[in-house]
Amino acid sequence: MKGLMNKMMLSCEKATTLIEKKSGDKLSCGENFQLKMHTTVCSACKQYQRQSVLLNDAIKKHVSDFDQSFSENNLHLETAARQKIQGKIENSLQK
Amino acid sequence: MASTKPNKTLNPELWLDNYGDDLFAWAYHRTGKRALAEDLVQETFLSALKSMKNFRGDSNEKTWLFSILRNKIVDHYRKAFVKYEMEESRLGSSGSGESFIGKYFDNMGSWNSNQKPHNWHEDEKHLLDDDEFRQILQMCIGILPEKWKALITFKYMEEKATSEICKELNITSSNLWVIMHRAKLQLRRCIEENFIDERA
Repeated sequence: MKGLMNKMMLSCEKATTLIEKKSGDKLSCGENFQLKMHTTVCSACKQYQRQSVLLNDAIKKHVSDFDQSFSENNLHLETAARQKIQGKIENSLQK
Repeated sequence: MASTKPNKTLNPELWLDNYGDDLFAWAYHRTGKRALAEDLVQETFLSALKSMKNFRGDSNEKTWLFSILRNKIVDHYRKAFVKYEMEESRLGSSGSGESFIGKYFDNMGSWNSNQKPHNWHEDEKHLLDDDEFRQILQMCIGILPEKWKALITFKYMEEKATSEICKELNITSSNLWVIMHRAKLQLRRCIEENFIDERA
């Protein structure tokens, strides 16, 4: 019985890998069950799961917020880079 | 103009003035690296000049240039990823992977006690709107190794499907999640060290 339990029980490393998989793939029934069982008893992995999803959302939001407002940004090409690119464009136009 | 469908909306001599800063800002935001962003802008212009004939005029000049830049970024990360895969296989499986995981988990795969996830905030959802958290997130993404940033970029910035990412990078999906797992472990560690410890 104990052997079976050990077989059923995921390690934290496996469980957190499955959490990443779950964010983009469907888990099999077995995987889902094992993950549920693990996060029920392991608060660290449960915390990891919550924060992993939060990070995914935060990255997406970080990108979409920027895309919506980036015309107001104050990032500029530095003069040296600008001149270099200008030279390349002129070169290419003359060909 | 000779052609019946002239490129009348393309003005390459004005590109740098009109779109240079915007393209740069976008590339910089996506990659977190100034020199890389400058290179990507330059490559975008040079590719655009070569393919002006293909410009159909269905989109405006700016949209067209941004789509080229977007492809350049995807290309950059694909190359970075392939390069990393080649180095890993050259070093063999005893390379950096094992020791990286060993920092987080013990031999049995349990969390090392000093690496257990901490609580970040009593209401973690609020962090999405917390400026300090967002700045630290950006910084932490910026310092990820390029190979891992490739996955984060494809999956969460470009929002590509898993199957598409596997095809582009020529990896299996289980391999994808193993690598993503490492990227996320490092990312969350960086946030914990900079955001949580600072507040504690």
